[in-house]
Amino acid sequence: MTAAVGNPTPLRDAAAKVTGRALYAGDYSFPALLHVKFLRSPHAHAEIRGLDIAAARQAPGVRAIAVGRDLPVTFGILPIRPDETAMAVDKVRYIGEIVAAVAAETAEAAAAAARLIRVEYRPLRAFLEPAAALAPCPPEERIHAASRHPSNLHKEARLRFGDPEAALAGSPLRVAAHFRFAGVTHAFTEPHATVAVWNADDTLTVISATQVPHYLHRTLAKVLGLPLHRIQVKKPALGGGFGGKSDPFPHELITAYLALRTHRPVKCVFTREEVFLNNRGRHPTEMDLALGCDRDGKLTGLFADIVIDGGAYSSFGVVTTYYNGVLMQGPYRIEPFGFRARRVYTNKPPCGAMRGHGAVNPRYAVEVALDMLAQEAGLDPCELRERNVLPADTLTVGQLRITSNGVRECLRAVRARSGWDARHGKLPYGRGLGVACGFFISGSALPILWNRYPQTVVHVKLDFDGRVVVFSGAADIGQGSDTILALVAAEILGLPLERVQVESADTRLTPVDLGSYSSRVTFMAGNACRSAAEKLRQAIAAAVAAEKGVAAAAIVFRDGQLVTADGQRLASWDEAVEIALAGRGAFVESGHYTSPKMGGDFKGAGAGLSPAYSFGAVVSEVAVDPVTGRVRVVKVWGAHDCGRALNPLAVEGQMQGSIHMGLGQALSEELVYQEGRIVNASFADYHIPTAVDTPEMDVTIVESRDREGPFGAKEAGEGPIHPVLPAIGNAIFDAVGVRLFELPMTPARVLAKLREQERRRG
Amino acid sequence: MAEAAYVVAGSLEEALALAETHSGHYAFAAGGTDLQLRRQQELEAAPLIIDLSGIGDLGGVRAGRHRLEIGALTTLAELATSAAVRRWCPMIAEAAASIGTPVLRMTATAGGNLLVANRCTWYNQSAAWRGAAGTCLRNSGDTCLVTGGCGQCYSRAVSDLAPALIALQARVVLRDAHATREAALEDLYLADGLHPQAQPGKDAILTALRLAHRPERWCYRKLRRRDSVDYTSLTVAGARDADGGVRVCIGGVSMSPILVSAGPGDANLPALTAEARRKCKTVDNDLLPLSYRRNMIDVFLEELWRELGENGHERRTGRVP
Ligand SMILES: Cc1cc2nc3c(=O)[nH]c(=O)nc-3n(C[C@H](O)[C@H](O)[C@H](O)COP(=O)(O)OP(=O)(O)OC[C@H]3O[C@@H](n4cnc5c(N)ncnc54)[C@H](O)[C@@H]3O)c2cc1C
Ligand code: SF4
Repeated sequence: MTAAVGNPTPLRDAAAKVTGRALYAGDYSFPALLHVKFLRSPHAHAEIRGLDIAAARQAPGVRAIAVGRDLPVTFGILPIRPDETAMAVDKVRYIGEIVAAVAAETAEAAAAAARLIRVEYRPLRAFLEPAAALAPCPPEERIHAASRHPSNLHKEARLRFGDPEAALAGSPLRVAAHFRFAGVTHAFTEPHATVAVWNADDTLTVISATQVPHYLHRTLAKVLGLPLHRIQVKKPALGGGFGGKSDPFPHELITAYLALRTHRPVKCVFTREEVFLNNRGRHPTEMDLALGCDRDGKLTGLFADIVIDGGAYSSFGVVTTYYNGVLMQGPYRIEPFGFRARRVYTNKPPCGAMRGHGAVNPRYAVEVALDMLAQEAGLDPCELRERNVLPADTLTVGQLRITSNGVRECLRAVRARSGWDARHGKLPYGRGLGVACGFFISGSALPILWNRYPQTVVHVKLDFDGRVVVFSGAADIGQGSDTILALVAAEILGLPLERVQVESADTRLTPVDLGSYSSRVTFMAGNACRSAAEKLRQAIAAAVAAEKGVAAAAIVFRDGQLVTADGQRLASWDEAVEIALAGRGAFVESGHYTSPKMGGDFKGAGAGLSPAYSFGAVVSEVAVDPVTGRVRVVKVWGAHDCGRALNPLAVEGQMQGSIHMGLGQALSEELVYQEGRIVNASFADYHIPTAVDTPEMDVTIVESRDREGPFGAKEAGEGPIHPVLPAIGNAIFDAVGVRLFELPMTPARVLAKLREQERRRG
Repeated sequence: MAEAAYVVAGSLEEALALAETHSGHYAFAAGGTDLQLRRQQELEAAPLIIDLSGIGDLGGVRAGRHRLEIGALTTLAELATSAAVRRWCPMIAEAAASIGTPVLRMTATAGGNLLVANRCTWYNQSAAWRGAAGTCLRNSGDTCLVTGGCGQCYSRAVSDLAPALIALQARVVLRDAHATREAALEDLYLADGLHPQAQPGKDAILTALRLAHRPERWCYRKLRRRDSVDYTSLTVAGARDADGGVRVCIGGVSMSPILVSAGPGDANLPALTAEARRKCKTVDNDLLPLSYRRNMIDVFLEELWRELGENGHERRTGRVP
């Protein structure tokens, strides 16, 4: 039998993307298309006292100009206290915030006209660092005057289980450190782009590079004041998101608004600099962390105090704040456990969700602290971890429900494959090995918006042509979700993959899926697709059973045939389709997924809840040049428990991509600001590792077969990144004996640590 | 980006005549990889682009027994792979291979590289960025945003070929509508960020590079975050003759490439380092921290000294560990 699931399968859109045939949002064109360009704020924080668009309106080619007051309705990805507007209304809150937009016959004309707009600003005190922003200040100075806090604090999350401070004070061994993490951003290939068309039937079509067509749909309705049923959002081919396209954005709303106002198609394509200004990347973070263990290496408690720099708006910030704390409670048994996490508004481009959302920085801190404890306890770092990992089918201290758990297998795999036991601590000076583990959610169990709908619905359609079409709102953002849905349907129906086609992410055609964030699509849409395909199989089986006089339950679908259990052929697929459609024609079956109820009943218990968790481990080998401080990662061994690899090729790709992305944050990527301006808003200056900087990778897939995942699957898109960064930090310690508490671990920082070490040793 | 007329010159004479006619209001383009970026960032607004890339006789490497001539339009990819260049001195190929990316090197030229504009993190930004930061000396403003001073611009000379070729005593051939002349490469550079480019002379075209001197040993080191794409944060190139004479040239840390040399017999590391420190006007206008870059000048010079010494490796390249 040719199984679909488990077969390494090239992504469905791969050939189109690499040959240039794929159509991205920016590739769409329509007759009489207008182009939008924006005027952006040169001030980090300023009141808008006057706005004069007279000259711009007269400029050649200009058809419409939009300003803040045209679209004053606030929005945000989270329903709690939406604080964004499409354009700045009364004041600007970061350098680069959109103040006005011009739609003109050409992009050049729009850009030229935007420069003619005169804005009178009254600069306000700018808060550029969290420490200053956290100090109490009068409401009129605050970035958001309506804030409930006496400062620029956006969100404070605290959870405690037991008394971690007391446990740590009494712990035989205890380490504490202050960690600093620079802000990083997604750096996807395709810049943001949106095309909006006002149709002849008074409906709006928005084609946009988005991970969340559903939330964009809702936000367009809210901000434009249009009924939901007159809006269609389509996500075309997409060139990477990593969380950077998972908010509804100002430019999408403005572009749609201008189409509505001009009744002409309007297009917006960002420059790379604008992509950086839009940001929503990982929060710059400061963290104090203390972790203890007893002499046998059993963990005795953890406490962390975390401040994350949110930038000017809330975005996913409340979730990020919680994730920074709650996602430290695995993959080890840590009790007692507590944290305080605070997100602060600053006058910088907003931060948001980025691959590994909220958990990457705290994971670094925990895994480095574990390494320090191992050293104090005189234990091998792998051994210390093995003594503490959570088992399968358990609850964490904060009542996260763990089902399948392959962390031990992951750890053992990288330990064996890297030759850890023979090499760790034994390599010559300058060379070292480091290890770390991680875990992550397979979809947030709680939807962003509370309502009675499922989290995802999938339709499968069968018609006379014998093809099966899967309809899903899920956004394939390059992670391969269309391919996964096809694999799932093909597996259930025993069909060759080419018989299954996928229509996705079109809010007029496809049922709602909440979007591609929190690593939810394979698990949730995969389950919904499985259920829909199973119903289709039952319907076909029932019809064929009646016609052939066999029991429906005894019919097996395989290799494009329907056969009996003993292999006797009943019908070809095409014959079966004809039988099933007789007298009624094409039909659709529907499946859906809703997370089971779980979690504790304390405030914040929902944060980090997921129907399943992925697990992983990484060993990395580094070479450190003690003279220049430069770190080269020589090789990375990664293992990831994704439950079951429905498409092993895609899982390996996600693991390799995660290693590469983690390497960037670990060693070279950072958003550099000067007085609120991003200094390195280009791919020449934002240092993503290039092919020559990327090490050899050895990836191992561990399959723990989750009982609730589709065919046992969990996530693989985000979890593999978490262990990468600390494995590098820990390897540097093995190589040269210094601990890096600040990321990225640039040559200058490594060298400063080495000099400090020299001074200490005299 | 400002609109510009664009002419592909069919011959050197045509290009020179055009230049003279439009003096002060044009820019030459060879590979265009530097020029086009500056145009995009609105740092260059010449209303006429004279494209030199169609001029047939400005390309190619010509090797003789005692001299090597490199046409100005020779691409960096050609330089990096040319057997004749490697035979003459692998340092030239190493330097070329360290520039930009493979795609960039297929377009970028040797001449364009020597004449690449100086860089500064406060200057090489979009018009909107500079609008928000305020204009600096180099950009019609009246103070330097790095130092706060009002006299001097410290933008960095970033050509990677320049240090290598200066260490190798290269000379350049310059032609204008009236004459052809030759000059030492180092004489093209002014230690002044406000003339932030090597000066081939008014309306002159750099047509070729000439090398007549082969050292016994060489060493080339480049400091950057990544092993590809990045402009240099510090480039050190050195050559030692059989008689012990040493020429070292340092790029990326001052307004022009900095040449420090010592005759046979009196070359020593402390003197070289002291001279380099004195001559390099390094300020905080690169993404790598200032103290680190200063520190690395010493470190690289020390390494270079070792490499150029008796026990050095003749084929040592700029790579780290
Ligand atoms: C991403 C990126 C990375 C880069 N990395 C590096 C690097 O690592 N090291 C480095 O040195 N450079 C680097 N550069 C800068 C630049 O691309 C190279 O220096 C390149 O060699 C310039 O050559 P070109 O032929 O493209 O020059 P052009 O852009 O055509 O010209 C550069 C300047 O020289 C003038 N010019 C060109 N040819 C002549 C001539 N024959 N006579 C008179 N004037 C002339 C032009 O008018 C222009 O002012 C990088 C550029 C980019 C975009
Ligand atoms: S060094 Fe100073 S004057 Fe020169 S470009 Fe930079 S900021 Fe401007």
